[in-house]
Amino acid sequence: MWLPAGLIVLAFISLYPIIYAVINSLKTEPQSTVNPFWFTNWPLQWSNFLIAFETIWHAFFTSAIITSVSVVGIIALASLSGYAFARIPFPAKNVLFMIIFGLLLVPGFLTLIPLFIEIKDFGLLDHDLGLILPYIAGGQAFAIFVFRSFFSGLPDEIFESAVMDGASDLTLYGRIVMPLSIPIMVTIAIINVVGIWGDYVLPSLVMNATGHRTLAVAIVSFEAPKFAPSLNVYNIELAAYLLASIPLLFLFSFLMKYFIQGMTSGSIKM
Amino acid sequence: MQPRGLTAALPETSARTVTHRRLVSGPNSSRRWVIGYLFILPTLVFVGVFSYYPAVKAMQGAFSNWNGFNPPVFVGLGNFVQMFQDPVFIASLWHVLIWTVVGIPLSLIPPFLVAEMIFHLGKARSQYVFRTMFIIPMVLPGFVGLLIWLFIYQPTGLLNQFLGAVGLGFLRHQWLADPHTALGALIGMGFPWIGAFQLLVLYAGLQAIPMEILDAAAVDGVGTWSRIRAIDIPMIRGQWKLLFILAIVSVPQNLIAPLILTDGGPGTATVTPVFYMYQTAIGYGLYGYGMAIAFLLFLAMMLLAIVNMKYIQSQPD
Amino acid sequence: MTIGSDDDYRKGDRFVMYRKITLAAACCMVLAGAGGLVQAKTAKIPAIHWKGTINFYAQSLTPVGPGIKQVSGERPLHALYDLSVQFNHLYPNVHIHFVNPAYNSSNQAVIANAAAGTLKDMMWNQYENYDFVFPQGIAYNLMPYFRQPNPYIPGNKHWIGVMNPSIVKETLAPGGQAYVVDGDWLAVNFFYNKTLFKKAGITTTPKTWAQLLQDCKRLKAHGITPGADRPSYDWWSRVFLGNYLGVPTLKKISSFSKSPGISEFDNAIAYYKGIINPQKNPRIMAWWPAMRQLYHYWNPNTTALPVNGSVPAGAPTGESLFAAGKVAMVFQGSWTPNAVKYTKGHAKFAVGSFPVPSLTGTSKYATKYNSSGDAGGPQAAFQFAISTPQADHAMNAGKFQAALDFLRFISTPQHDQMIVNEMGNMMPTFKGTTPIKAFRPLQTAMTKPWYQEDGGQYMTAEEYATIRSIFAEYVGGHISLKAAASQYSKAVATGFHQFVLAHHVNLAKY
Repeated sequence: MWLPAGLIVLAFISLYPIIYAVINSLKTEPQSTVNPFWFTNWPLQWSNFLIAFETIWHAFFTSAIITSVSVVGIIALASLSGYAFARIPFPAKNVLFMIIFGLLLVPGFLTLIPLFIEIKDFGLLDHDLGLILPYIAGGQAFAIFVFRSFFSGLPDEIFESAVMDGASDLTLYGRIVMPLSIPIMVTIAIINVVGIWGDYVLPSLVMNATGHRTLAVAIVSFEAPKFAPSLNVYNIELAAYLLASIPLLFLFSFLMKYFIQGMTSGSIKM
Repeated sequence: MQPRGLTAALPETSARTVTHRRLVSGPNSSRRWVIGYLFILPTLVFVGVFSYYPAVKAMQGAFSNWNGFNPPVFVGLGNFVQMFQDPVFIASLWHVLIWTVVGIPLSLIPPFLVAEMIFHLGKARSQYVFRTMFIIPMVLPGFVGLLIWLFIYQPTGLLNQFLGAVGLGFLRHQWLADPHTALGALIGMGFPWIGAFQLLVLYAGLQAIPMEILDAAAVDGVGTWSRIRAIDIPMIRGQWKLLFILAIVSVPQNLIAPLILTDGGPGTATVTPVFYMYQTAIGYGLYGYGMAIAFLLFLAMMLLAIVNMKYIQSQPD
Repeated sequence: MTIGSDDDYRKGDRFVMYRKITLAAACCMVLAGAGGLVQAKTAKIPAIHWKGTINFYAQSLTPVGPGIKQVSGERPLHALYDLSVQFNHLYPNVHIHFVNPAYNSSNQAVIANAAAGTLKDMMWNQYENYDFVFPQGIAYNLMPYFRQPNPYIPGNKHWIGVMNPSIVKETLAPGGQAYVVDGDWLAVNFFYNKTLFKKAGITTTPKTWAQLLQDCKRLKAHGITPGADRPSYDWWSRVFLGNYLGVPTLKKISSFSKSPGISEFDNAIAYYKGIINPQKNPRIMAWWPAMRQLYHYWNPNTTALPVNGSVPAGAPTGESLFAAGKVAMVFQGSWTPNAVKYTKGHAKFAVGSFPVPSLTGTSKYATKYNSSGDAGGPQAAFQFAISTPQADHAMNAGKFQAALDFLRFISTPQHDQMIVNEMGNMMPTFKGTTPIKAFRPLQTAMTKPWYQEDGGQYMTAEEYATIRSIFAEYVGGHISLKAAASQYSKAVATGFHQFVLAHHVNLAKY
């Protein structure tokens, strides 16, 4: 009995940031100064959501396109590489793997200026590809790491008959590995969707102040400008973050089964 | 510590790990390595163009005096020499050491305990519900959670109110504004420290433990704690290793907490190398110096990761 | 020169003005068509042969207009848009496009854009950033044009002649470059909640520091939080250092370097002469205890906020608590009344204001010099620069001429007043301008000689951040004055040492 009770308390604490966001998205800033932890004063400011929606709904589509294309790209490329690293012997494999893994250690903001100049030199400013291409590159390290581990864990027996029949690596990858990998793909997809959906710094440079912008950029726009007289932005911002997380919640609820299956397939380990 | 008999009894599949190299079955061809390269070629192109090229460009800055705009002036190892004479940087190394030593267990043990709790719930349905509840917080950006911690640590915040209420009023503190407690407050933030990713990975490991072993332990009358110690913890070694490596990579890169809550202060009490790198590069316009710090940090983490992987590889399964 | 003093120019004669302008434009075009230079009645309007669009990031002065919606709760601005339309009437080939105010103008973004050559053509930013923080060479030095006539001001000989001379001096870079036209002044003052003061039985605003502390005590006794904010070293150092050093010393400091006003050069020399060295001059830190006493009454959650970065979004600030009617006063920028007014759900109360009371009695070093206005300054919304081709690949000589002309066009006394007063948060600074009624009592602050002596804000950003932090720790009660003094001395020594090295200051000369 103490087990579920303890879990309920812990789950409540873990979920509390969302509850907090809901509470404060329905207040004005003066109302928030009273007690930010609960509904202590009325009326609730439903209009915050209306204002938030008006400002960000265009950006939903931009973000949806950028996120989905990036994630598909990440998975396509990383699964091929993961397969090669896991199942094909080739020279310098470990070195190449460490080179890719090393990218997890490079802090993003340090490469920001050179990356931004590069995107500009490719003529991709204000273009979806200006974000999609770097995102695909940026997602490789972690995804390959996980795919490699999953693919090496697949039992050899399932490959044997196909190999006997003379199947090529491409066939093995497409016919055997991919169908088995749906849960793990969903897992990688969700982790990347969350990251790309909420990314701010690179989009704020690449799609700077044009009508065409991503969600995070649109949401932060509530904060500008500095000398203008208005304090209500923070509560509207929270409302916008909640609205922006609705697609993620839908995605989660549809894919939760696969996500948990992927995470719990026991393959994410070393 | 390891129960030899139990490990020996494990079926092959659950002991298999990435680093445990086996004969890879696949098409036999003398030119199969070409296929291997072709498979990783797209990744290499993308990573080369959009990750390594900017990173190498940035790293060149580490050996120069550079403000991000004007052409860099080569200074050799000057930035590195300066770094080890810079008291703020030295202090930041201590901070990150403390943060890592305390932060890694904090990021691993609570999720493990919760994973155990969920795993031992009777019904599959309630396991599912709790797993879901712990994953959902992923949808909100992290700064919302940080803000709650600001309110908890404030001078009249929840923590001090709580201490007053339970008669520990003398412990009340300006947690984030006092140089003696600020770093601890940042490290302790995030209670109960249940990361969704860590939780699921460890939970998955537990699920993969063969039922026969658990049943055998139950028949032998092994208690919960002894079972966790003797069976659960060693059986999910692969998961521990993965999370450990990811923690080594991510804990020192935690920039957001000092950036939002303390700005490295009070004084330099919460400056970590990655925060200092941000501050020197962005705040003070010393890109070259910031990148030298990044370069050193990169080398240190890479070394740790390689040592860790090598060590893991040499472990017999 | 006469300038209308409408607080809201749009209320009154907007349409009249439009008609006048259209007429003038038509005149110009006829004359231009007749060949030769355009001759207006009183001024010679230059010809612009360049065609195209100038992108202008005007930050908080960005007007609503095509493609730019008003952010909820704010007052929509029109002035710059109307001026751009007028300019376009004068030069049909030149279009001004206002960049969405959501443009990321953080230091990080400015440097990245400059490096990529993608800065906007005209940009707002703090002159201090252009002078000391951003890489040199990202904006044009406007000083040569300051010395030329502004053709949009009838009879003008030197553009600089209509600017406030002390502001121009203050905003110059160490080498004498002027990167921005600075047209407004942010006054910093005490703003108070009249209802709460009345509730505590306070009938007159404090005239001395002792009275201020007395009023705080009284408010607290009535269960009212007297004030709230982060410890502001930037503002209070100017108030106290200016007063404690006194005018003769301030004048002496400002005279060290050739450029007038107190620049960082002056500060460096003053430091090495011992004038602003905390170890040699006891005045430099003598005011800290007075501030500790005051902040003792301030909301402790706000005084514990980090002092260098921005306030975490959503954390209660002095302004939000003041707007909520939860604290009796703030020491804040002149945007405060509007911030209250346009904050949804703000408490109902009248906002009053009073200047920093007399510092007499805060320590034995207090002088008669009234430094109450010195906390404010020209660090506000009207600070516009033109990006160089190196930082903005779309820039070229012809475009620069057009952008410069638009900058001249909006930087006239008449237009300065129109733009700044419409927003109503600052005071216009050009000669002959009048601020909105509420700010007229504050206007003396920028018309009398003023000194921004902050003890060295730009020696290095790093050491200044350290000093801010030491100040906050001291007033927050975490360290003793002795510990603070030793840390401060160390920081300021390092800072000026690096400044002298970086800027090749020849100390022997002074």
